[in-house]
Amino acid sequence: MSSDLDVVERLRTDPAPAMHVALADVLAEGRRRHTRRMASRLAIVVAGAAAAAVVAVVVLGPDDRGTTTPPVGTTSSTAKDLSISGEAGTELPDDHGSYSVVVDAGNLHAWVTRDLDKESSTVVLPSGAAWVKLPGTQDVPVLLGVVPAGATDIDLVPAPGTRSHTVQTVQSGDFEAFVVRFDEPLADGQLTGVDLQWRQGGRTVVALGTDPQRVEFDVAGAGRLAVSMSSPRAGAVTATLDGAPLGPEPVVGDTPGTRYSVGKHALADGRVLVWGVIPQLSSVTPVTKPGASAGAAATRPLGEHPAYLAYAAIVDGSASDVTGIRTVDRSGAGIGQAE
Amino acid sequence: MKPSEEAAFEQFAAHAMPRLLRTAWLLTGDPTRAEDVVQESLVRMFGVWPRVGHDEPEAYCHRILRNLVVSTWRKDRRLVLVDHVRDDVDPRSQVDPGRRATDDAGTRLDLVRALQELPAREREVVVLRHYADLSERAVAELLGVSIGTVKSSASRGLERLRALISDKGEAHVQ
Repeated sequence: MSSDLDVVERLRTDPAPAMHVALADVLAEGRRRHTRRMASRLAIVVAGAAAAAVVAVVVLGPDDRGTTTPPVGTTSSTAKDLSISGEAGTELPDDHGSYSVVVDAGNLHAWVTRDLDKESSTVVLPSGAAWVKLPGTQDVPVLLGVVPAGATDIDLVPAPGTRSHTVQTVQSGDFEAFVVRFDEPLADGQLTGVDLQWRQGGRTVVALGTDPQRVEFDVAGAGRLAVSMSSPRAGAVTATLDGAPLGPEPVVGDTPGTRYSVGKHALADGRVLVWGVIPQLSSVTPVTKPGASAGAAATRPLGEHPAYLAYAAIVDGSASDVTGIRTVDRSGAGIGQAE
Repeated sequence: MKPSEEAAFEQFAAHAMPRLLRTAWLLTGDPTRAEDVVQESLVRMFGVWPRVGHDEPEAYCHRILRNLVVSTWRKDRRLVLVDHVRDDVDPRSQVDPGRRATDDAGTRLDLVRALQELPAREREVVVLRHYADLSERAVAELLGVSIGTVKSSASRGLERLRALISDKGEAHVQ
């Protein structure tokens, strides 16, 4: 290969595999999404079976709104099944475009319509609330999400460092969509710890990032593992092994069906505990270098309404021998691998 | 979308698809993933066509495509670590018109493998600048880096790629 020009020529001329995209499929899917957005804008499409979301929440007294940040871990609750099903969507106008949310089968999908590749999804909490952070105009992020229909006075839970902001809402079938805009750019991570509150039925309700999904189980030969993850932040997962903290480990992936995390912990006996979370209805296998071997992974649902499974597996080998995990869904299709 | 706008989009998509497919293949090393990424890119392009269709739509679509590719790298890094080169070569379908198919499957393998050996930034710059023919400014804006970084990454990337390809059959990716 004599020159850069030769390399460039090969980039342009080397034979490629036969690849094909059906333009008819592109047009059909494009029209489908366009129709969905337009229908949402004009009215609201709610599937017939969409029952009202039952609200399970921390309930503060009617008069104590805004007086304090609710205690962590007191969420409790009364409520049960979240029955948002089918699909509902709406748009919130912005000076330079709009924000769209769609609730579909218990998942919130949100995106900026001026820049459709900026999409984010998360799981709707038992409280009926969900929110995600998306880029807004002028590099100022926004929080975009939903709370159950009938909610009023939606706002952030007051917290030190919370910047000046405005909240705009749009009623949409069995939920209320909202967007929180900040008046100035925020430092990275400043929205990580945001909780949300609203008024409903004469009470103040707090939807909590501090509404953790958690499970404990024994890992043979390693100890008792407790795995916790907060939603909808779901940015990281933490754990303890016999009380000793592990993590936090980032949760990666774009949608609830593809998000996972991987943590490695060297055990005293020289083996490695591989732990983390994977989507529900999936399975996981540690991937190791030759010479190391992984035992079968144990999985447990992460909480009462799990979108994730906690998993743990023991690897005979060092931490550097563990190169990642292989995760497959129920059909056997690979959905992710770390490292 | 108006019928005239949809017709214009269809014309754009048909024209741009071969180049988008090859760009995606060079970036991912995986023809199946390339097809998926291009399909999703075009679907998303359809959604914004009335707003962006008159302003360098191919560059915009490459931007969507690149973001999707990066997203898949993050989602499933395994796929850039294994060899997914398919055997069903159809040089006529994806080599740009007027350009010739010069090599066999072995060299194709070398090229794809060598590209996957480059750091992600260099791979993106080399492919977007020297295959997709985006300007240095467009690549810089797309990747969020300076034009100087584009120039240096392109230079280093081509140099590295040349060395890897010259080392015939040794560009292993395990």
